[in-house]
Amino acid sequence: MKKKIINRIISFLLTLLVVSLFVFAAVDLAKGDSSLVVLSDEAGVEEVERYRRDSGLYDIFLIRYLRFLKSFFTFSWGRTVGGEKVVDVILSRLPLTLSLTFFSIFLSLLISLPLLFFSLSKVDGRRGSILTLLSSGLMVIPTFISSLVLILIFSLWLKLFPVSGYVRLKEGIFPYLRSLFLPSLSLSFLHSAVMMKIMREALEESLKMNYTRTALAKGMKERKLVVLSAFRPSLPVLFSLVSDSLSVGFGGAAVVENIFALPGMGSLLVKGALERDGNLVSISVLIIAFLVSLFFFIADLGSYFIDPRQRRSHEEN
Amino acid sequence: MKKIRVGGAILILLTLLSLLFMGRGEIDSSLRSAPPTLSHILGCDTLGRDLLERIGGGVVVSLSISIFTSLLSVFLALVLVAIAINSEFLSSLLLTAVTAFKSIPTVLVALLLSSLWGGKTSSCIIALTITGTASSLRVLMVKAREIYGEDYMTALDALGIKEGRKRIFHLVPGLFPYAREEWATIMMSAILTESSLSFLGVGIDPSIPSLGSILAEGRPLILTRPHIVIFSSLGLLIIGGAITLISRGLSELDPTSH
Repeated sequence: MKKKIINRIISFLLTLLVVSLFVFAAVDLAKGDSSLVVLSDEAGVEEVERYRRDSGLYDIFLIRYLRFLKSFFTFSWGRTVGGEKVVDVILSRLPLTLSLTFFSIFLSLLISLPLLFFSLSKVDGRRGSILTLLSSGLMVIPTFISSLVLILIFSLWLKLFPVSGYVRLKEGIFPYLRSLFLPSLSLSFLHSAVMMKIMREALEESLKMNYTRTALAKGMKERKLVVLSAFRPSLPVLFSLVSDSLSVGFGGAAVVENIFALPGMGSLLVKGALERDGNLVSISVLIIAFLVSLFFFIADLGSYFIDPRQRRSHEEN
Repeated sequence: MKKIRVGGAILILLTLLSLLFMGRGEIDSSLRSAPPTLSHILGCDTLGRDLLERIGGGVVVSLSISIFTSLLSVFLALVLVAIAINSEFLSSLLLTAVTAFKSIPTVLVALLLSSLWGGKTSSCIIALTITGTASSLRVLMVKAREIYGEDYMTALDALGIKEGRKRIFHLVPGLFPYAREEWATIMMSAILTESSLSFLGVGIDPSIPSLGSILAEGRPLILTRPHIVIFSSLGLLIIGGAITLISRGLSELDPTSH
């Protein structure tokens, strides 16, 4: 059991290594030789040489990478193009994006789980095909179209939710949730489509198992059967789907935050990309990637602890 | 099979129509955001260009980018799998890289590249290819390991077939059924990602028409002149629906899934 957990920790650390290497390689390739920009045209060969040596351009890749990591972990992230401190900007914007992603996952569970239960509570083909149709329909709609439709219906016609803007948690929990509801809902459509599709396959798989037939033969009710003998074994699948949705959610946040004018990481990244602020964007991407791999790791550990099959399979080896 | 035919027919028909109607879009400032009329069936965009010509071009651009990146990703994944299949070190290295790339959303890869390098179209294509390759690599690697352990692979060894020949002519064709399912999945996500990026103004270069950027242009006018948003979203939804049909048809074709 210990060995398996250690293996997971090692693979988590390896993931962090690869992610940071990729981001650094992109930054490093783009940076090139800054001496042409920084020094004047009159600089002699010697001065150029000295500048290159001082700014570490002659160091090997590994040294430059380690220096990058050091400055990342000591929070010396420099300034944005606009002159603000990158640390402050990111810290002020991260909470919104995190609450947006988690709220959207919560909503997608709220949408997909009852529908899944409804489609399986009676063994009949029609409910299943309605679910399939719904999930493939939701999967086709891009987030920006669903956001626009939601704004039209709920903000402009029904006037239930604000068109844009963000209310902080300090100013009351109800206005906070109200300002986040529409953006999270439009993000959750894609998540719930994927959840319904994959979870349905997993549930059907476990409903075909022998233990389900045994339970049915012993007289278990169909509804109870779905919950006990289908949902429980499929929980690890749900765990990995939730962590996948987190990753997709951070990407989708870029779109949704722009449409709803929310000051989060997504709109920061888009602004940074348009202003070609490579420093800001690379650090933000690295932070998000680290967060997502942390969630993957937690989901992986979680599914290990709730799924006896995974523990057993190791004991047998 | 029927689903693939219907989906394919829709895509081909849409492409042909788009190729027929796409054009440079002459600017006529008297027709700015004009609603549909007989001479301009879909109306005009914010600059007064014929929307039909713009959307035709957008469909062609969005489709060709997603087809190109998805085919390239599957091809790269197949090559990498064929190279790494025999070596424990290489394949675990690849799988670690795949897990790592799963934790960076495609949109963010594209934003990172375009913030560093500036080239919008190229960053978009590179980002789509990198993440597409990573996502198909995982599935194909698992399947390739299964196939590599099959009896007929051992039989090929016994026949004295060279290793390289075995991989190219026997392992890779065995992976085709899975590869084409992956291709449809990647193409779907490529369409969605490319249009989202173009909608944000960081995808395809703004001078090239793309469904996402046309929609973004029409967004401020959504209440007064909704035709721009409606027709460009319809284009995206039709493409998406057709790809979904093809993808579902392909997964039903797979003989091992029954």
